[in-house]
Parts: sequence; C-alpha cells; structure tokens
Amino acid sequence: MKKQLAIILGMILTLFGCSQDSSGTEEFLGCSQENCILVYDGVEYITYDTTSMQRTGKISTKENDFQYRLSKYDQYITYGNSVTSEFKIMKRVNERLETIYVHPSKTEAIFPFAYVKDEPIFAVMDYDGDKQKFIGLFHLKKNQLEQLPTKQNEKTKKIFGIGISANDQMYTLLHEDGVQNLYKTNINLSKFELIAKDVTQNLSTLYEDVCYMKDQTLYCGKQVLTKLQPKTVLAWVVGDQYILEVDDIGNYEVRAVKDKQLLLSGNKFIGFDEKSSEVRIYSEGKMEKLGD
Amino acid sequence: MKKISKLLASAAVAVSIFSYSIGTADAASQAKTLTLPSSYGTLTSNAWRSGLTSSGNTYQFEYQTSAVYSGSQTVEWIKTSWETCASLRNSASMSIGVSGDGVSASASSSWQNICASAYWQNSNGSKGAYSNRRNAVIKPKSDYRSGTVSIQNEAKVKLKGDARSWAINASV
Repeated sequence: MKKQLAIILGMILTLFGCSQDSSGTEEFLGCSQENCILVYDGVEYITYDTTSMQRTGKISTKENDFQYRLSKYDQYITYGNSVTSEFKIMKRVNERLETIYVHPSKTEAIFPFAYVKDEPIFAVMDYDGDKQKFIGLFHLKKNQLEQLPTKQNEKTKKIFGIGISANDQMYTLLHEDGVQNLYKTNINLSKFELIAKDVTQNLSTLYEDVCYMKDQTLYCGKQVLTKLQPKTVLAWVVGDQYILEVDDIGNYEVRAVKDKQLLLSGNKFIGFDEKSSEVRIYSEGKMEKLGD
Repeated sequence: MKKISKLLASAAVAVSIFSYSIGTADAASQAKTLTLPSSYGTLTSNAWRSGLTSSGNTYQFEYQTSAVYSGSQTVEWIKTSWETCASLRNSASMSIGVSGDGVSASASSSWQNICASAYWQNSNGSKGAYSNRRNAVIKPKSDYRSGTVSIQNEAKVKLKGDARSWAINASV
C-alpha cells in the first residue's frame, strides 16, 4: 500500500509539481493546476486563475527574485535575485518556466535585450563593487551563453541592460549624465543613433519603431503618438495596434493607435500579453482579449 | 514623510500601550528595511493599522502603507502594494477603502481567508509612495473570526540607470 502511494505521489509530482534536480535547482516554476496561467506584472510572473480571474500567487516567494522579459518575445525570460545576483535563463513552456541555463557568476545579471533573426539576445551586467559594468551581448548555443563579437566603446560602457527590438531593429537605453537616453543600435554595437533623451524604462514597439514615455507623452520613433493622462504611470504600444495606459492605482485604458478610440477600460490592472496582433489584458476580475 | 513618521510613532506608542491587553484588536506597525547593493541606499516598507473598533454591526480599522527609498539615485518608479486579509464566513464582507475593493466570503459556514489588495505607484521621481490613510470595514461582526486581520505591504522600487528591481515586505 505504501509503495503504491509512493508511486502515485511520484507520478503527481512528475506531472504537476515543481521538480528538482540533484543540485537542488528548480527546473520548473509556474502553474500546477488547471485554469491557471502565467501573467507578467511588470517585474515578475504571477499565477492567475482564469475561472475566478484573480491572482493566486507568485512563481517565487523568495524576496527580490524577479523575472525579466521582452513582451513580444517571451519564450525565453531571465530570472534573478537582485540582492544575491543569482541569475538563470528560463524557457516558457505553456504555463510553466523551465530552467535551461544557470549563470555561474554571483556578481552578474542577465537581461533579455533583443530578438534578432529569430534568436534571443541577452545583455550581461556585472555588479561587483559599487559600479555596474556592461559585459556584453550573448546568445544561447546548446543552452550555454556564448558572447557575441561587439564593439567596446564609450557608448557601450553606458548600457545598463535595457534593450528592445522589432523587425531586427535594436534599441537600447544608455545611462548618461544621470538620465536614460534612448538609442538605435545594431547587433555589433558599432552604431548609436540618438532617438530621445531622458525617457523611462518601459519601452515598447510599433512595427519597427521604438515607443517610449517622456514628459507624460508617448512617442514612437521621434513622433508623438499621444499625450498621456496626468495620472498615467505606465504606457505601451501593444500588438502594433493599441495604446495601453495604466494609472497610479491600476486603472487602465486601451485605445486604438489609428484613431485613439477607447476600446477597453478597467481597474486593478495586473499585466498584459501580446502575441502578434493578439493582446490580452489581465486584471483582478477581468481577462480581456483584443485582436485575432 | 513627517506624516507617516508621526503615524508610525503613534502606532508604536499604541503597540506599547495595548501589547498586554487580551484580545486581538491591538494597533500594530512594522517597518522593514532592505539595504540595496551598489551603495544605492535603502528601501523601507511600512505597514500600520489601528486597533479594531466596533460600530453597529461592523468592525472597522484604519490603515496606511508606504514604500520609501532613501539614497542618492533617481527613482524610475516606486510602489506600495498591500493585501488585507481576514477570516470570514457566511457571505460576510470586507472593504478596504479603495474603489471596487469589496470582497466577500462564500455562503459557507466554514471560516475562509478572504483578501483584498490594492497599490499605489509613483513614477514622477518621488522617493516615496504612500497610500492614503484608509478605513476598512468588516461586516457583520459575528462572521469575522477574532484576531485574523492582517495587512502585508510590499515596497518595490526601480532606479534610473539600473535594470534591476528591489522589494521588501512588512506585515501587521
């Protein structure tokens, strides 16, 4: 009887539970029940019940564990602790995250940076001592990080890990004179074309253009897309068709890029997903879909 | 800042006054601080609530939370996210003083842990995010399990020129 119970328990753990390898590294994180999906809240993945439409927990309960993703390309995300600088790369498999690479350094962090020619590109930063240092750009080769040949210059020294891409166009923020300046760059980091000075970190894209917030205005490229509402704290272009604005207490609005018509609104915003032109908005009590 | 310092100071006094009383309605406060790496300074999470008071067929309490960054870096955004929980039954409800916040237990007579959450985020460079002092209401009194109110506040901050985020929790 005990043996049967052990076998059944083992099967349940294999099918649904968080498993561990011999070194104690968690291989899978995320949903273990039906009607559960992963939702990214801006800094971390939470589990969300699609029946009650409520958040049910975090994928990690360890303080200062966060995840980092590029919203249009979230198949590979990075996971790390901001205090201990233990980082890894995880692959999203449906509603779970599978560890595919554990970074050996305890002073470095890995951030998703771009997606170029169907390949995820990562930035590695070093935080040894009081100064942060950009190590370089890397890609995955047989689930190991391999450094890409990039230039080292005065501009690359100011990269701090934030990048985004669309249609193989790459953009990055540089920390210059205390502000975050947005540049268009390339995979070799040999060119830096200034797009805008003093912008926020939440970047998005509209086709091949980069979109950003500056002075309560949402820009794409060098063009104003829309003036943001006074209480808006976060704004993105999502699915190349919609403008998503979230205010200081989680009220949100979605408008069409083309005519600024209000399409959706709600409160208790949690996060969004964008896949091609399909966009999903998650909040406490509502789960809405736009597009395909 | 002065306002919340006063609140916390008064809460501390309240804790000392009521700490020996029998019952579960004591005021409580907690401040927890995280020292950020890279000599960035500190992030503090503050949570405070008053003792429960009885009014008609309701229990009520006031509460306040905050996230405070202390350091020389410029803040990208700072956020205080709080979750208020209580053990309720028989469709009893709890509101936490923010719009659309009402939560209820199911009709079951078994005790259920019911939570309501909200947040406040600043992205204007301010080094603090403070929830307003709010009033929470639980009703009816008979379907609240004594001593089960809790508030957990998570303070989060992102600084300009750094891709990492930081968080620290305080609970009362």
